[in-house]
Amino acid sequence: MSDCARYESLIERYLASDLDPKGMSDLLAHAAGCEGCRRLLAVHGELERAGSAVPEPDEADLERRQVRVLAGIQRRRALRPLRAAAIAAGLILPFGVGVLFGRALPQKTRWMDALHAEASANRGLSDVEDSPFNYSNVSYRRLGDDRVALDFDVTTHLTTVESKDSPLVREVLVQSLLNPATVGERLKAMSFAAGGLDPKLEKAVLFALRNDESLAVRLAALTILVGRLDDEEVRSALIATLRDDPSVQVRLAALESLASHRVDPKRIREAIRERPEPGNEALVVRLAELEKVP
Amino acid sequence: MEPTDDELIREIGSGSDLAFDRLMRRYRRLVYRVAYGYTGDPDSALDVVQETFLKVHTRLGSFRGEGQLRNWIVQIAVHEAMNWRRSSSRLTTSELDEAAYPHPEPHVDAMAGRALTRSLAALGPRQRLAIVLRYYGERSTREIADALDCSEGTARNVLFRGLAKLRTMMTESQESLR
Repeated sequence: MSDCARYESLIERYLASDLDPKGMSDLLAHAAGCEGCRRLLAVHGELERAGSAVPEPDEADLERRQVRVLAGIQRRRALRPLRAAAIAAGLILPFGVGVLFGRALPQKTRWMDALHAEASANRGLSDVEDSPFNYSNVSYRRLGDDRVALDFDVTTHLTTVESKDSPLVREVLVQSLLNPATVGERLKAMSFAAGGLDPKLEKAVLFALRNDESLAVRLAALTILVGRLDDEEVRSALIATLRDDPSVQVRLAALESLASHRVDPKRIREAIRERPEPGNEALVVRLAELEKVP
Repeated sequence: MEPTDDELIREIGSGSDLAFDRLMRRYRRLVYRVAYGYTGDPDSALDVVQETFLKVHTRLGSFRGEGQLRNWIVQIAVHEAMNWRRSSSRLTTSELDEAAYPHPEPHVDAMAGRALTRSLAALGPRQRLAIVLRYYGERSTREIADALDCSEGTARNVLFRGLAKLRTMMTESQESLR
């Protein structure tokens, strides 16, 4: 593999289908004796096969989808005036009703009852995902007396004060981590989760560590989970993060946490072996430094 | 004679569904192939095609003509495919719920068959886009460089790095199957 750097530009040109016959024969001669380059060319071959094996879409299916797109566009166009009317009504009606009755509608209470009932009934992450309620624009504020101010949209915007152990607080937090909320919302949920994990919330944080696209959210998840490294599920998640997180920064953070918690060095070394990225050197160097610490 | 992309955009802007129908016909196969590269499943790729063109229609007013329309559509397709991936990976939360219970071992062949798609999904966004465009979108290095907004040399290097990373992941995946 020591020679590979010399052949990198040849491989790049080969991958771009731009390598002359002389370069090709040089590359093949090198690959014959180099397992790493041979494997790389095999991956290229596999991708070529996968690309050429993409099934041609059925024209009738494509036509149907195209008809649906056009129908969707026309429906949106038809709804535009109605939506404007609905927005106007939404602005005017509550004001009118408030003036007439001089008090808030009891609808909010009914909403809150339904949300509490759903949150209490939902036991697992998949229940939360199947919930008929989707929370967005979520914010949490500690009130200092074991209560939190919870602020969110769910079809309508609601504000409530809950016990910090309320199932509704957990439900909103978990859903913020699972659903495609904004990065800001996911970070807010993460920061609140740091205050106390229950099993459901811990699974949501583990899920975010392994799946969230935002580096900031994954780092926040990792910071929260470090305190739980006695749990094998958490240890395995951090090992997996060290092995295959797309960011070197996140992998370094996972390495620091695992090493400082005396996780089996063999497991750590295995997780970071054979990484071709330039940033991987940082992991190897840092591991060597950590191993010197008595 | 076929209208150019610019002509179609103008007609769509003035409300022509016929022009949008033509535009979809022009790019739907490319979008399908890119979507398939991310989803690895024909039905899901068709879902992504449908969502992509709905977004294209909504956002066409914001397309300023910098770069090619084709690349702009591909970027939207990639975004939609990632959304699809995100929502489909959410299904795995049921596995998290069931973590305490024993699972039957997944079929080894099926796991190997999914290794490539799974490894692709774990790449960084630029490397994944380069690879999907090269192998599934049948795009040249020049076109990949346009989509990545970089030089051809950089695009080649992104492809190389992406493949090197895939090699590592797939090697590990094969080892774990042994």
